[in-house]
Amino acid sequence: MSFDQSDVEKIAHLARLAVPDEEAKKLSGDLSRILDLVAQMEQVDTSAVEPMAHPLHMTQRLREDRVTEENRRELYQSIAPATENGLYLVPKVIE
Amino acid sequence: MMHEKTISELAAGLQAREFTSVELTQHFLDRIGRLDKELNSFITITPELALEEARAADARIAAGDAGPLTGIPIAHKDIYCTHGVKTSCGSRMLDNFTAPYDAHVVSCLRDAGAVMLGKTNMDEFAMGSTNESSFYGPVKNPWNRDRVPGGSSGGSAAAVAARLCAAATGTDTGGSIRQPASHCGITGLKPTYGRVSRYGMIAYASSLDQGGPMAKTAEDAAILLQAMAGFDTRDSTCSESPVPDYSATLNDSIEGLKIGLPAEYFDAGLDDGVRRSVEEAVELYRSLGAEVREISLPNTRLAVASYYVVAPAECSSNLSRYDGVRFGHRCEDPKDLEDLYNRSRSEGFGAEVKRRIMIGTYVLSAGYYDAFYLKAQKIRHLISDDFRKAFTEVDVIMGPASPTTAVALGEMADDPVSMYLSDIYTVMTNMAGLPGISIPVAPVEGLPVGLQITGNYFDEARLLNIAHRFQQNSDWHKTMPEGV
Amino acid sequence: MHWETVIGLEIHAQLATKSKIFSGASTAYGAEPNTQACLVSLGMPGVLPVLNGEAVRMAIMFGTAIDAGLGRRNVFARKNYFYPDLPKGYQISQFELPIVGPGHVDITVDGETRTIGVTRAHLEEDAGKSLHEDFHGMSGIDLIRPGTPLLEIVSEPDMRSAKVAVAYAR
Repeated sequence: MSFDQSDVEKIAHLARLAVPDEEAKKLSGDLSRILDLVAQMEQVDTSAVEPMAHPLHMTQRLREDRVTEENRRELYQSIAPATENGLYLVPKVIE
Repeated sequence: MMHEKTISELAAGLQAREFTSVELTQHFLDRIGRLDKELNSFITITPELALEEARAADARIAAGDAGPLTGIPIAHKDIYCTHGVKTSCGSRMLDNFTAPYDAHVVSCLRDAGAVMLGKTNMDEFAMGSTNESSFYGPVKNPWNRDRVPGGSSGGSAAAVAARLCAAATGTDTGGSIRQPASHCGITGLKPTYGRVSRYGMIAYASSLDQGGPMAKTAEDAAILLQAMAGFDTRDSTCSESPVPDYSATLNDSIEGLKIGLPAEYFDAGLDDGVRRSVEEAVELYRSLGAEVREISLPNTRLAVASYYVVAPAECSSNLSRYDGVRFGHRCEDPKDLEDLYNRSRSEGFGAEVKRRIMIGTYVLSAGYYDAFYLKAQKIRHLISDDFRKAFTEVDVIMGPASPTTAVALGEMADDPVSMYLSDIYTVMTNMAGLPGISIPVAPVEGLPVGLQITGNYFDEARLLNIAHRFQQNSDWHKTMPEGV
Repeated sequence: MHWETVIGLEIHAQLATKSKIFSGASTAYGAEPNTQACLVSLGMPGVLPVLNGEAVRMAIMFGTAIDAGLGRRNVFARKNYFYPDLPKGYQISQFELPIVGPGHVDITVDGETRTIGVTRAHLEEDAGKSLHEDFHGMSGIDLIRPGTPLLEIVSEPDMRSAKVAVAYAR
């Protein structure tokens, strides 16, 4: 299975990763080889098999509707790259 | 020497006032200072914090309030959030991240009185089997400095092997506790999925990740697991089933134990020397009264392919939160939002992480979801069924943890697929969510070999018992690398 | 040519719980920016969602009120995309197996009773916009809304006029 340059660009965009041209060639080669490995899955017929998302047969536990968190903005924002007046700053978001 | 003693021996020594926790902690800190420049098993060392915790432990011991881990110096894999202490996950993305809270495992071990020496090196975001993808440089195998320690918990494995700490925590998503334990000649246990809370354990693949102990002996691993295991309301995937007393059953007889050897694990891909060591170990079990028979895990050949769909898919989603907005690496002077994301993420993540995010994004993207992700989840079901069937015939399954001993540094760096294929024996356990332990057996040309024992769901007590009985009748776990 | 108006509505109803759908952070209105953003709301490394039982109860109440089928099993899934006030880079929502199945709402418009079909309703966390403009050319993010429980109610395209649509929404 082959992963060409345009596949790399498309997927890189979805994943918000910038891939410079010199890296793109090696990356498409690596990814093609990985997809060849993954293609081994075709060896078995799974049409009658249920998918298993999770190893344990558990149901989602529910929490009580109580406010348990207090305001710790100072601590949490002490590690933020850019804040002002308690807001996180990012380059202007254009709708 | 203090660093050669087991946790129980150290606890006894502390109780008898032969030495204090402060002396013990300083002893390990000195060893780290002397030996770790070469090994690079630690990313962050926390001497002031450690000595403070050691003083508090000494006070508890004096007051008669000590438990089996009080005053014992350990290390945490740098994937566990530690409040106020750098938590990097081996990545540039979190190089500037001081965790604002403690992982459940970290709180549990602190409450038990363990002393944290520092945070150990690891493959970036737990992706890798050689500990060469860390932003902080590779870890060297203490048994041979030209070799890898295994990964992704390579730092923890090397630190325990080199006696730089009494024990360490690790995590295992596709073999990351068992394989480095095998390569470094120590004991490492991956518990059943849901046995140990994942709260605060930075996520790689949410349905596969599990934290566990890495130690010199099964007896030590049992003590550590006792403190780590158990219900936590903050992790919805954490089991409420009661935690047994793992130390109480260590000495149980294993007469009549039924051991299964999967034919698929002993094929041409397995190195001859490793095969002989594993077979020799199985012979020892026969002599202790176990019955051994061949079994089959027919879907073994699909394990690596399906794992490398599920794990990257989950990782691509879990790593989306690293966007330079609220914490972690942010690029300089982002032009606009897209630039913020693209550059922060590309600068922050290394090559292996990027590969897995790309594969993961691809297999989850529209048009491919059914063919890849859904298919892999079906194969996961088949793999679990293989184990379920096997466990109707045998009590435990044994085999090698890795097809070879530790490879040379740089040997697999450019060849991701070869590295992935070497995970063959360990990934299946994660896909099924079962527990597995690796214990040291006879080395090959001076390099350690691990025997992997896989058990049924929540059967950690039996795994530790079986491992302990082996260690009562052999000495491999007592040997130390030269020069440490 | 004669055009017929066909309207179906997708309504996001905010559930009046005290805490968020996946964490114990408060949902109270009017707080200072990010003072009600806990570790889970911020999508910090290592944190995990735990489902609010009251949100589930409210969804089920709605389901019984509209005579809906309530499946024995419903599943949460992730919708992955990048946006500054989507801290985890994904929204936890429901796709294939929603909590509330097909039902109906009876409304009265101009003295006439009409039945509007409801296709499904599912639980999800709010991923709404919470941007503040103009901080020297930057945008400011308040993570107060993300994580608020929503019930997304999807109707059949059964409505034929805006008047009916409004009556349905009420």
